[in-house]
Order: sequence, then structure tokens, then C-alpha cells
Amino acid sequence: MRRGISLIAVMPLIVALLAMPVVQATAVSKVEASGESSSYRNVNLTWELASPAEDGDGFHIIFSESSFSHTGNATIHSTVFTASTDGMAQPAVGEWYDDCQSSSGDDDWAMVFRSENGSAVVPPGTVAIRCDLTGMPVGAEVFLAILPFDSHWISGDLSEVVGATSTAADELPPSADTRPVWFAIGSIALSLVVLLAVLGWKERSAQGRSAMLYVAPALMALALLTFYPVGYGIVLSFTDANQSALGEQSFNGLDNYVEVFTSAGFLRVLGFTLLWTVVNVFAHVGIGLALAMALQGRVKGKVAYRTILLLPWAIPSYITVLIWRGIFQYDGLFNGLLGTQIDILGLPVPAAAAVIVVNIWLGFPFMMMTISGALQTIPGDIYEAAEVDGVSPISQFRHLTLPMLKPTIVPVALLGFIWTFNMFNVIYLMTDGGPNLWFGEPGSTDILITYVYDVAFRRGMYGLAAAWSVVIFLILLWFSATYMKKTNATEAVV
Amino acid sequence: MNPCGGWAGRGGWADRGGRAGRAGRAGRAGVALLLVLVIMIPGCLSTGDGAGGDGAGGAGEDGPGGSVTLVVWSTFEADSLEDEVFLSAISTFDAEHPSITIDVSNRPYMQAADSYRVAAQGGEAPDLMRFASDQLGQVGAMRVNGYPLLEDLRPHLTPMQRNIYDAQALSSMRVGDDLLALPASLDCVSLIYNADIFAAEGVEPPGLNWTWQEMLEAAETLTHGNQVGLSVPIKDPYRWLAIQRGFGGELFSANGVPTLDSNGSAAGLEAWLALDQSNGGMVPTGTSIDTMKNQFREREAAMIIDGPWNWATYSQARINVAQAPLPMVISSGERISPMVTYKGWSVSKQSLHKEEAVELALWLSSPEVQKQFALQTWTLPTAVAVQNDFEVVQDPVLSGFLNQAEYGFPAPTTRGMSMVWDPLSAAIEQVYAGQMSADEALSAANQQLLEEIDG
Repeated sequence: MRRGISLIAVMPLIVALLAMPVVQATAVSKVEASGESSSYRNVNLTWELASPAEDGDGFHIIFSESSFSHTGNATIHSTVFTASTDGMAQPAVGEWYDDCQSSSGDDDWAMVFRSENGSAVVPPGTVAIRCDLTGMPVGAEVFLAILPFDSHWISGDLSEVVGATSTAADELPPSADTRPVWFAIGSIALSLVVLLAVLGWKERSAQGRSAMLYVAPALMALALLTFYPVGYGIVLSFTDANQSALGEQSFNGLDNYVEVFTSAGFLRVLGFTLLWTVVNVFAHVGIGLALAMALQGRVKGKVAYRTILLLPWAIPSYITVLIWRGIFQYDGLFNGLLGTQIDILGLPVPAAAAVIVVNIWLGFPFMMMTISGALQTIPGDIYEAAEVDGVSPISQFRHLTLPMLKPTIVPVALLGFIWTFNMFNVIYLMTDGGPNLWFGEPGSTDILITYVYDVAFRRGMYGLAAAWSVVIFLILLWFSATYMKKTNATEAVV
Repeated sequence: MNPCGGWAGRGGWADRGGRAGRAGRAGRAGVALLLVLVIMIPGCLSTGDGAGGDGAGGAGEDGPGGSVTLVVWSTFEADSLEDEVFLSAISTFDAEHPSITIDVSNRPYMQAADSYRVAAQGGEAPDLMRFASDQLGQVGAMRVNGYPLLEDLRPHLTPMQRNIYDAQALSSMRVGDDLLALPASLDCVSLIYNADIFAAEGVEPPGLNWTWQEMLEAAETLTHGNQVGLSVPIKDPYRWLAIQRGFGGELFSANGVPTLDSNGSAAGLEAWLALDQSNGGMVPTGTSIDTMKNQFREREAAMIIDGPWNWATYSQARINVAQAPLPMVISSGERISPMVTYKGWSVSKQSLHKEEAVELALWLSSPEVQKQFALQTWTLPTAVAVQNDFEVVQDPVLSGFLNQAEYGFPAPTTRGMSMVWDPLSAAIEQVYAGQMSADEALSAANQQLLEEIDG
């Protein structure tokens, strides 16, 4: 009974199959493969048909890295269909590196057409097809065959399996040419050796000559780690080096410097950098001095206070900055506590004030500790004598403490100036230079060093960024020289 | 003996007058010169063009026994669900390929492209890294000694392998003709809402045919006390691009020319900034992406515009979170259309093991791995089979965002695309600060963008 029912059920299918016209996949008469003249990861496969292809015929190109006799062990690479090519596109050669051509005889080859999904389509009457097959292994034999199928997707006989090896090697970029680097480093080192040799020759005392020997390793290290990068930066600043064509830069004279000095935001960013630096250094020294003085006398819990005041310095600065950024968010602690609704980091002036406050917070502990140390060295009997003479505490501070602290404060303030001028992480993490109300210019809270980062790594203009860096270097060099001359800073240390 | 005696003591530099002293000095100068030559000679002898085995690349050195090491930079957040799925996929590949060792390191997503550029320029690029389609244009345009930084993957793939991916996804990984990455996921923003808030207040939840006006009305109704109806980061240009489209503007014309200075763009920017409280809207001034996320997580925002990448965060906060397509704009007849970015795996041009690297890239963007990402992390798939997979189609989040992507527009893979953000941010700031009208600001931004593209 059951068998009867199932036979009845499949009868229509059997009838339909019997009614179908008898079609057969077009047999493949010859297959050839070659990998020697092909491009990287490519082999060329050509197959000839036993009879011209008919509408609806198709050919699966199958491959495997080991020889095979049936399709179960191979993978389909691609499929070529036979159909009318009216209205189909004939893509540009090489779009996917898997070009196919077909021939209707007489060795007359034409590019195949592509259907909407990218499949290769050849016109009826085709007698041979050749394809560049992508994705083939390099240097290892790959086995290929054609599996024809008819308009009902019924497979014909698998063609002969042929092997081919793609031999074209990968094109690797050349190693960086390090010769100029080594040559420059060697030249600097040689110059130093010659300099030391000449100075040693001229030096009359044995002690002096020994000193030069002791200094030599440090000078060598400086040459490698400082002089060379600075020199390279200066050279780079006269080139058009950029990230789109690195290694192919050419000298462009003073173009970068002209662009720096004529850029619309130059004076503004320089002005804010100076404001940022001066306010910070004054605040660092002022607060540091005030706290050091406050903790100088007999204060209960002095050690605890000092420890607490050192915390901003002891905590990694990026963590401190991120905490402050959270505080200054619109829905952060600052507005919450004060009941205000100021978009601090979103408005130019409040954002500038915020970054300065954060840097002051980060910088004063160092000054406090340094000045505290210097205060310990001032003999107490000077103050006793001043008190006996009736000198007021303010006069004592002005005429005794400050002059005695000068040897410490002057060089430390110079150091603070240079550090603050080049302080990158506070602004980068707090505001990233923003808010930016200008097009192609530095943001409201950008200082020179953060803007150089933008120019170098966001805009990729290395030559221009190097010119900005040289300008920063020259400003700091000029300031340091002038400052030391005016304040006798180095003498003060001695 | 004083170790310095030979130099400074008797017979050394100190003894300048003696013949022995002069000979010693000459000897020392010779030694010094020799040392310097030792430094310089390798530089002079190296040919500097060592292709092939001596090629550049900090990536993939050969290991012992002919094994290959592939260096992969992952930009998934460390210890996140995505990272877990990624590392599991790497383990599977590792187990199936004993001769390949994979060295994975995490890079912060925002800095990863910059890090890659610097590493590649120094010849130290990793073999594999994930890039977004809006970054590919810039990276694709870079050259070091005339060579690109990324491998053109076209010769590496068979047509069947290419056909795995959605045609738009594959096209979004191309720069010029080159295929620079295999698309593994796609991203876009959509309207995300707290269904409980809507239900509690009897407000009809967003639907397919919602209009911009209906969204604003619902947002107004749902804004009271600490709760805001709609929270969006007003200064975020990425989200604004969706609004721009809705109001009839577009970023680039069909031939790649910036078109920020259109009337539709200006209308879009005005409508967007009108949402801010300072302009009479309901979005609290200064709302950043983090603020928006926090508000939604704390049930203080009824609707936000966000992507599926934060869905897990919201689900973990036990919010009855739901998604709807961004609304229509009646005046333009357009739908708010987010920019769709694709992320895919790129292979370094400097890789010494490109075949193995491509194999790994194919695995990481395979339907199997994409399905795991989709079902476990709501990462939107680019593989056609996964997009049509029953489990994916049944998932309201995945199908909802895939539906939203249908209304989106693909991020152009041009050099200009990576240059859009700075001028656009400046334009938004200008209008926000009331210093320029939307028209003026966008025209200035367009001009700036044109100048930067012209370089």
C-alpha cells in the first residue's frame, strides 16, 4: 500500500523527466594549463570543446592542490556560462585579474561578457575558452579540470586533470635604504672624535684630557639620540616630504617656512602657546613657592601634607587628565557642584582655561618639592639675625628668602618653561586642540606642539611639520639663551 | 692598575712630550677611526634594495621548522565580547594550521590607522589589520618609496571567494581598482529607543514610516524632569551625515567632488543644531557620545541615534531596548540615511607571507566567523549567506540594522573621505557658536575640503 502511494507520488516527476528534451553537456576535448607566463598567484587555463557550445551550457573550473579523479576532492574556482550576451557588459581588462576570452574558431579571441553578478558569459558557438585563474598557490603545483554542465545543470564528464605551477614571485617593497642614516650618524661620530682629539691635543692638563674621555661616551649617545634626529628634522624641513610619497621627497627650499609664517593660524597658536606657557610657569612657581613656604615652618602633619600635595605629580598624568576631562564634561562634576550649565570643553575660552588649570594641577608639586629642598639649605641664623634687627616677615621673604632661592628657581623655571611649551598630553587628551572654529587652522586650545602633531600625523605633511618643529626649537633656543643671559641662570646654579 | 692609566697616565695623553706618547695617541686615534668606520661601513656596503627575502616588514618572520608567524593588529576593545569571538576565531585557525603562528596585539581603534601608517613607513607593518572603509582611501593613497602600504587582494581571490560577500561591501573595500580589504562587517547608526519609556507614557513607538516631525513631537512629550526624549551628540559629524542626507544634501557628488555647500546640507545642519537646548530643542547642551550612552543606560533618554556596537551595553543594563529605522523628512521626501562603513581585513604590502595572511583574512571574514560575530555581538555581516541566514533574519536587532543599512549610503573610499571630518567639525562648531550661518559654514568647509583634496 505504502509503496503504491509513493510510486503515485513520484509518477509526475518521472513523467516530467521523460518529457524533458535530451540534452547533454558539451564535452571538453582538450585542456591545457600554464603558470609560467602568468602573473602573481595566477595560472592560465585553456580548454577546447568537442562541439560548439550551446545556449545554456556551462563550465565549472575546478581545482585542487592535489590530483583528483572526481569533483568531491576539488573546489569550484569559477563558472563560465553560455548565453546570449545582448545587453551584457564587457569589463575592462584586468579588473579582477581573472580575465577570460572565448573563441568561435580561427584563433579569434574576444573578451568574455559578464553578467550582473560578475559571472563570465560566452556566446553560443564558442569552441574554446581561456581564463586567467586568480587565487592560485605560488610555487606549488595546482591541478585543474573542467566540469561541463548542460542547461539543466546536469554535469557531463570531468575533463582531463592538468597541473600547473604559478611561478611569478610576490613583489615586495625594497628594504629601507639605511645608508644615508648610517653615513650621517658616522659623520657626526667622526666629527666628535676629531673634535675631542683636537681638544685633547690642545689641552695642557692631564685632568682636562681625562675629563674629555669621560664625556666622550655621553657625547656619542647625544649624537645618536639627539643631534642626528634634530639634524634630520632640519633637513626634512626643507623638503616636500609627505605620507603619500615618503622616500620620494625633494628639496623645496624655504617653502615650508613661508607656509608656516604665512599660515592664518600662526600668530594665534603662537600667542596661545606663550599664554599657556607663561601662565603655567608663573602658577607652578607661585603655587609651589607658596606651598613650600607654608610647609616650611612648624606645621603639624607636614609629611602628610607634602605626601598629599605630591599626589597630582605621582599619579600618571594621563589618568589625571582623563579624570579632569570627566569633571569638566557638561554633565560632569564641575557643573554639578556649582549648579552651572557651562559647556566648558565645547567653548573656546572656558576650554583654554580648563586645560591651563589641569596643567597647573599637574605641575605645581614638582616646583613645591624643588623649592622646599632649596628652603632647607637656607641657614636659620640669617632669619634669627633679621628678626633681631626687626625686619618684618614680608621683608625677610623679599630680601632674604627670594634671593637665596634664586639659584634654584631661575633654572627650574627655565626648565618649566621648556617643558610646558612642549607639553603635549594635557591638551591632546583634554580637548585634542578643540573646539576648532577655524578651517584648516589650529584649534582654540592647540599649542604649537599639538598642532605639529596634527600637521604630521593627521595631514601627513612631514616636511611642513618639520618646519614647524624647527620654529619651535628656534623659539626655545632664543628664549633659553636670552633668559640665561638676563638672569645669569647657569652662574646661579654654580 | 688604573684602567684609565693607559689613556691619562704615564705614556698616555698626559705624556705629550714623549715619542711613545705620540705613538699612543696615533694608535688611539686609529682605534677611534676604526670604530667610526665600523659604524659607517655597513651603511656604505648595504645595497638598500633588498627585495625578496630581505624585504621590508616587521611582520611575520620565519619561525623554526619552516613555520610562519603572522602579526595581527586587532582593534577590538580588549576583553570585550568582540575580542573574545575574534580570539576564538584565531584559535580555531591556529589549530587547523599548525605551521602558522599568529601573534595578536591590540591597538586602540582611534589610533590604529595612524599607528599602522607610521609602522608601515618604517617597514614594520603587521601582516594583517582591520580597517574601516572610510580610512582605506587615505591609507590606499600612501606610498613609501613608490610602493603602497596595502596589498591589492584581487590576485589572491578566486571569483567564488569574492562572491561570498555582498557586492556593495566588496565595492566599499576598493580604492580605485585595488581591493584593499576583505569586508568582515558593516556599521551604521539607527534609532534606538527604550520601549518601556514609550509604553509607560503611552507614546506610540517609532515605526517604519515615522517622520522627523513625529520623532520631535514624541521627544518633546517624553522630555520632563531628568528624562530627555531624544539624546544625540550634536557636534558629532558622523551622525550629522545621516541628517544631511535626509534633508536632501550629500557629502560628495557622483564624481567625488565635495558638495557640502548645498541647500539640503544647510537645512540639515540647521535642523540638527535646533535640537540643542540652547536653540530651544530638547537635547541637553554639550551632550557627547559618552553622555548620550550614559543617559540611555540610566533610563534618562528615551531615544538615541547609535549603532549596534553598543547594543550589548544597553542590554546588559536591562533596558527594554528596541530599534527602528531613522525617520523620513517630509519637506525633502528623503529618509534620514546613515553612512554605512564597512570594516575589513587588509594585508600589508610588506608581509613576507601574503598567501598565509590572505588565508587568515579569508577565515576572519568567512561566513562562519561572521555568523559568530553576528549572533554573539550584533556585528552586522557582509557575507550574503549570513545576511540571509535564518537565525540572523530572526534576530530583530540584526535584521533591523541590516534594514537600516539598506536605507544608508556607503562611505566613499576616497582620499577625500578621510579629510571630511576636520572641516565638518569646524563648520558645526562655527554654527553652534553662532559665528556663522549654516550656509556660510558649510560653504567654508566645502572650500577647505576642496583645497585639502587638491593638496
